[in-house]
Amino acid sequence: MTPERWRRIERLYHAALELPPHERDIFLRTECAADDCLRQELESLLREGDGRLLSGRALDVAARQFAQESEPDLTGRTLGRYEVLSRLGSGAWEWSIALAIPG
Amino acid sequence: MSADVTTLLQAWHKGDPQALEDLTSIVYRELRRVAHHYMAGQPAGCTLQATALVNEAFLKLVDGNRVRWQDRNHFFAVSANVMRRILVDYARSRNYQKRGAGARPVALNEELDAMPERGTDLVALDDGMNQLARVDPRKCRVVEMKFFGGLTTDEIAGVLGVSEPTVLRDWKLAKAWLSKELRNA
Repeated sequence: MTPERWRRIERLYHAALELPPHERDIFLRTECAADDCLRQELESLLREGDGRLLSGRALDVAARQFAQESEPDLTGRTLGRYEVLSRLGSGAWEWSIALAIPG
Repeated sequence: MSADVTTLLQAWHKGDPQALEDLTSIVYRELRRVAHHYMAGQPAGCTLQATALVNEAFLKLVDGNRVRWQDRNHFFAVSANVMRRILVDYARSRNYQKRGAGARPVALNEELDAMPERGTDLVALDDGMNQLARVDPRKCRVVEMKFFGGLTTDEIAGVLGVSEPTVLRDWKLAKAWLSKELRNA
């Protein structure tokens, strides 16, 4: 992306945000004219709204991930139709599992 | 401890590479301390409290009154950059360990789904920020100072020499763009 294109995106993004939602579509269609890529880019940016990304602090995010490394041992436990065999990695989500076949 | 951090940040800013290593071990110690609060099994609803605690912990790391070489806000901007380096390197080393295990993470059922969410991928975020910096360095700095450094809008405006509404607009677009990038990553 060129800085020029980015500046155009920035200008249109903030202009669209100031409009009521039902007027944004026609605004973007008019402003972007034949440039469908630009319109789609703006539509997806506007859809992001106030997402949860970056809602906390980085140190907090890292601390949570750190805490997950110390989750309790799941080895041998049955989770639905699966049996946990062993730990594969350092995170809470890295477990080797096998289908538990009944009988 | 805060005096140590202030001195180390000054040393690092003057080009002493050892200072970054020392800062890293201090930040890791904070990380472990905060992580223990999560591991203590606090029920949902304590998140806000824990977050306040984290911010307090970080602010304690830097003693702004001892800063002589530049104004306070610029000093905090430097500490935000250091924090970004340290936390992204930490996340990268964790990702490396996972890849080394050769396993792909998979959510098993609601029991595992109920575990604390994995949260933002700091490495992917850092990549996105670097991309953003190529077309708009100021927005990348806003994200760095706010998310990694915990600076207020007012402080960021002071560092960048722009108005607070400009910082808020930068933040809003940067956040939307990064969310989109991380979703498509």
